[in-house]
Amino acid sequence: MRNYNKTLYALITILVVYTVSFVAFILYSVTNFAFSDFYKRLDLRRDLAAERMLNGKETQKDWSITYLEELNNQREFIVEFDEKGDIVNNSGFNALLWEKIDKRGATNFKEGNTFYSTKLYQQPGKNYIVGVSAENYFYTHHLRYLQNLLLISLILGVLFVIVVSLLVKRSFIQPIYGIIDEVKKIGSENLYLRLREDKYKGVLHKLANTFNRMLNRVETSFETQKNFISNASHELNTPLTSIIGIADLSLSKDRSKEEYQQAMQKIVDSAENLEKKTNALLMLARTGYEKDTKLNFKPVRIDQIIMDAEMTVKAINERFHIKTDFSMLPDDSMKLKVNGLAPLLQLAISNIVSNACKYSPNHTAYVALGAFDKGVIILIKDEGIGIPEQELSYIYDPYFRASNTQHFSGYGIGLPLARNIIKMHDGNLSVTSTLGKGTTVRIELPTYSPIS
Amino acid sequence: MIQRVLVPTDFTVNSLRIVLEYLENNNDEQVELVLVYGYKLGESISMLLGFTLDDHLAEMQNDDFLKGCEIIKSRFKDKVVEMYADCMISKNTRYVRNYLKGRQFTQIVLPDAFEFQNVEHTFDVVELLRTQPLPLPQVIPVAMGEDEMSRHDTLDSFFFRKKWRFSYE
Repeated sequence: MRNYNKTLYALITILVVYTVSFVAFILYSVTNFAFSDFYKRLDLRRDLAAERMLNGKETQKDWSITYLEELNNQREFIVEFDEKGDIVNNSGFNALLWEKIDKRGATNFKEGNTFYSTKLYQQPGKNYIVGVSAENYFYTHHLRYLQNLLLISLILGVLFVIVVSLLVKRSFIQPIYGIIDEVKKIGSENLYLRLREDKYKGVLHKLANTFNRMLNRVETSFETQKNFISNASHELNTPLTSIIGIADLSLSKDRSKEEYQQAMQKIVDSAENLEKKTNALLMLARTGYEKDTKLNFKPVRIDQIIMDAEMTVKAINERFHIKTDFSMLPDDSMKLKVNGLAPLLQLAISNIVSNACKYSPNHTAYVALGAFDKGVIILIKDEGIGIPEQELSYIYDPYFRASNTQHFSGYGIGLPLARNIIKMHDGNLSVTSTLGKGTTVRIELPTYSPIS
Repeated sequence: MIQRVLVPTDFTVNSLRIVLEYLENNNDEQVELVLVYGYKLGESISMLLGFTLDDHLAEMQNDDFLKGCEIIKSRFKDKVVEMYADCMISKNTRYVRNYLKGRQFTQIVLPDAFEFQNVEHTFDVVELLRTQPLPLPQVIPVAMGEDEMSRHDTLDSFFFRKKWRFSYE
């Protein structure tokens, strides 16, 4: 805000300086014109006076006045002087101004309100200075008036500039304060609140809109996090409850050795289940939050990773079939190299492939690989149950499971985990699906370039 | 000698299957592929003055289509010398004759039973070329066959075609 004020004051100063210099320029040029014009008129009268005084007769005095308007307080004078410059004869000239006169040519000067025009005239053995003096009515009256007028308009102008600038500043800042007040009201407990966009216009409308969109994202991620915690605790609670239940039950009375063994086996199974879940959770958290720390990426062949991932999937469940289409493999094997961590990529791909197999009645996943200019495309397709269209936007939320997956076991971690891994590799994962027909997952990864 | 081949297209990834069928079933000659589609320019003065081929083609080709083209180029790196799009702007017989002659096509690929996407102002190049009374360059028919898999992703049709050539289980 302080910077804003500085800019405003600088702008006001510039405007004021401009106005002042404009006024000064007008005054200067009008004065200049008034002076030079008046001196010209004096010069004419001086020449006429000299003609009359030196060559004419004294009685001829009045003829020039018939044609030329007499100036205010017009006086004519003639001064005779010797070679040293001392006055010999003086008629009507104030001797105190003698120094100001050029004794060898013409002079124009001003003393108080009186203007003088003099010139040297020579006759054999004699030097005369003939001159005319008069008061400049235009200078004494009109210019003074103009000066006052300009001064008043200057003051009014400056006042106007300052008032208008302050008003504009206020009208700019007021809505921003409005936005600030509205934003202050929004906290974690009322994230549903939004700014009133229709209240603002122009760029502030855009600002409010941007802010609201940011709030939408914040609210969504807030919700996701809340859901994540509740889902996670629920998921972790289930095996814990069963462990406690089995242990309680077996402790409630004396049991045979076999029964204890059975109970312990169940407890171990549940604990293993719990471990799997926490490991998956840990992996998800690590892949989700370690985006900034650059992992030790190396160039790896993506076709090799796909084949390894398929081996892994088949090892988990031998009913799973994977059909691979490598018909679009590029001639140049360099195009198949991506920069990444092989175990992570393998984990991501095997997760998606095993999902594709799991949710298809024929337990078959179709995998294809191709390379375009700057990256590779992996398509993993199934002919399974698909994902309901309205649920497609939630599939990347951890622990989210689509409404049609009740009959399949799973935690809802595989896809978010895969997506995190692909994102770590600067890649892109997208899912398209038709309910009841099948799903296609498309992974795009940038190719390894030795320069970067 | 590099063959210049006219391949009809509608700028969908699906139509790139024609290119694939052609490339896979023909001998190892080097080819320059010109993906051609039909666009009725109309008679208005604004179209005549405001139509720019490059801008129009850039508008027609979406990301997936371009990626598909790039995949084909990297797959058949030694075979495909060049691959670019072009359009025919009239069904007029003389225009077609001049177009084929001017571009110096040596082969024309005509697929059987392929449904092109019918968008406003477009026309079917395959049908147009089939019905031409003109002597055409060498016509290469390709059999598209039925594709039985359902499609979700736009690149699906491009990859999972008929029978997998490389598959292991």
